[in-house]
Amino acid sequence: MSDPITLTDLSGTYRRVSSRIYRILEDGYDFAVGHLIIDTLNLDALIVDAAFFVLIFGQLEQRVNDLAMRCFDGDNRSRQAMRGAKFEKRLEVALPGLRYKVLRKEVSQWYDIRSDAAHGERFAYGYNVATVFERAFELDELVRRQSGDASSDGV
Amino acid sequence: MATEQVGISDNIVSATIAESRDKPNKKHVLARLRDWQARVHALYDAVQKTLGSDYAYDRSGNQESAEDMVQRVRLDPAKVPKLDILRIEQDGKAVATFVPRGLWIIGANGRVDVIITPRSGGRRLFMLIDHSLPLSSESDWRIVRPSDQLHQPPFLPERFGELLE
Repeated sequence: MSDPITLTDLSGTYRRVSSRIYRILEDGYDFAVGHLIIDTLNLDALIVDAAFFVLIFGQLEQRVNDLAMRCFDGDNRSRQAMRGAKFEKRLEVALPGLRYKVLRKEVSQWYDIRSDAAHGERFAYGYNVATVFERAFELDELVRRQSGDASSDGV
Repeated sequence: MATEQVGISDNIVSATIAESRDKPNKKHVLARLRDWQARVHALYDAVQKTLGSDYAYDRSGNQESAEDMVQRVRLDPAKVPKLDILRIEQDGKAVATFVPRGLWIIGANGRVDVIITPRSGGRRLFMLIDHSLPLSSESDWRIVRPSDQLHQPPFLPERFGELLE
């Protein structure tokens, strides 16, 4: 089986894919007599950005899932139930208590935005994927740290 | 002892995501639009100042936001602050055009596209992306080349002239 995709893999792919779209857009500005091609290419870029937002969040979601499942090591029935639980529930188990309240809220808000994009709702926003990656790496590290805390607490 | 909270941050991504989940109101949207207008016009002023009188400037074109947030609060179009489009000319030819692209962006406080027609020929597209927090007092403009959007170094108006070569 191939290795799982990481945030670092995604950032490399995004760099390559987005540069191609914007090179075409640049050519569009060079040759376009109307705005149709520019608008179409800008929409292409927006859809790619939204898709990467969904993929980036998927990495965070996977980290949360792993952490939530680890809380039920050896209890297959509970692990099964957790696997099918709503994201909010998995998040609560993975990042419990007051200590993680703010982090939980932020990850939960990412989930809402990700759902809008994933379900094809009209994009109300653009995305600056560069800062989204930066924050995703930070959040990933914070969740990883909780993973360490949970281990040292004997979870 | 108080429990240490994990995750508190003045981060542009967190701030813009949180804003997007709040129910918008007219007062806030209008404040954001006025701030956007002030930041964009200050950016133009800085560019014009650094390029000086070797160039001519045309800011007669303008643009008003029709973004989703503006529509959601049903803001009267007459109340939406208009943003200038900056056209820079030399010897009667356009060498650069600044076009505000959008304010509400996850992970940014607005984006302005810059289309440059350098003396060496062709056209080049750059993006200026503001990394400042919404309604913070100072802008943090970054310049982004389409070839590497993940690299967003600070935009220095005093070096803008180099892009026109």
